[in-house]
Amino acid sequence: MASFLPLPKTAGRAAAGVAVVLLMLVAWGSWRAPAVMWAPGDISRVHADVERCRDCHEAFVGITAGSCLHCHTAGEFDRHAALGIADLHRPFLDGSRDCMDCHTEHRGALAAITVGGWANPHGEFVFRATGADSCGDCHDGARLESSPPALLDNNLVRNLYREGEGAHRRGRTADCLRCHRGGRMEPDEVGDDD
Amino acid sequence: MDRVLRRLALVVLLAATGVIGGLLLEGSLTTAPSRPFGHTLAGHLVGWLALLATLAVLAYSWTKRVPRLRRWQPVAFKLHMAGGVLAPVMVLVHSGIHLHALVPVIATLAMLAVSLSGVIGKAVHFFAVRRLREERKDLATVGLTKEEIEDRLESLAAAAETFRVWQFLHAPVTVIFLAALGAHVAGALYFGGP
Repeated sequence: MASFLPLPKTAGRAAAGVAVVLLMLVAWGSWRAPAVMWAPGDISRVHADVERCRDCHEAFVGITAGSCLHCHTAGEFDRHAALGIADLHRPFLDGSRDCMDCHTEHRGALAAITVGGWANPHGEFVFRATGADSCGDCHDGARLESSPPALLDNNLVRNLYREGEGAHRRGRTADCLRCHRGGRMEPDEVGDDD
Repeated sequence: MDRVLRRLALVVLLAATGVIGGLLLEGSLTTAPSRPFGHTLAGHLVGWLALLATLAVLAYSWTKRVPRLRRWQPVAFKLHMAGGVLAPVMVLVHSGIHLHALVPVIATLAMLAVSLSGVIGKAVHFFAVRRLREERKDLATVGLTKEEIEDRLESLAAAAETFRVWQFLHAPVTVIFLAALGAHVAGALYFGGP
């Protein structure tokens, strides 16, 4: 083992002092700006109206289905979700299954919050670009699992196709960011075969 | 001096390999951008294992301070060195490049400072000190005076003194690291549950 000159005694005291100041800053930051101190990423656009950590996080328990069901009630699904989406979520509404099996958060304002088989291939950009609020605004919720998912014939979809001036067509709209790189509304100049 | 610098370059290269390797491993274990490895059950497990490894590293400090544990010091020092390299790599696999929340960022940076300073202490400073002792001994056997020996070994002695800087980082920053680590673990349990 190495034998070195000892550190000055003040070094330990100085480090302890810095550690105490750090913990005080963490405590102050947790009170004033908890997201800066603790959040692993920005919250998504769909939950941008959530104000406090404890609205979703139960202390020393974490996120439970109960936290989600506080806002996402059966009535909310019936009123706002497309039929297929509401049906899909019905087994979760009694709290017996965990919402976090399919959903995530704190992955950025434009990140998808659904993971696995229900991942949104367009990215969240499609919601900003079209003004849609959910998959069911453009897709037939009852046939979301078909490949490609069945599109509705409504103003939102017709407008999207019209705005694309030929670039938005069947089989070309899954990956928005291929042309709208960096989430820019103006597309990159790309060839027809790209 | 040249051999000491070569040793330093090797240490920096190996440290960079460890950091990049840990981050690449995290990247390869992340199956979807919306769910980084650190946020999966396996990722949490790696984080807890890294905490255990970190606590095992601290056993060496304990054996230095408790007289009846002194006989365990050589074993504890080996554990200290192995864990001091392994735990940071595990932490990087647990965290990846997700620099958002301030508390884990501070904990990670402090951990890297502690680990790198420890490796420099053992692999570079001790190497320089040992070489200085050996060269002094060799030069004394060929009949050089003390002044002549010190003149010849001036740059090596300067290097040994320069790399003593690790000592001023290693133990003091450990105190700061432990404070940030404690805060991170407490925060993870508070927001995420057990």
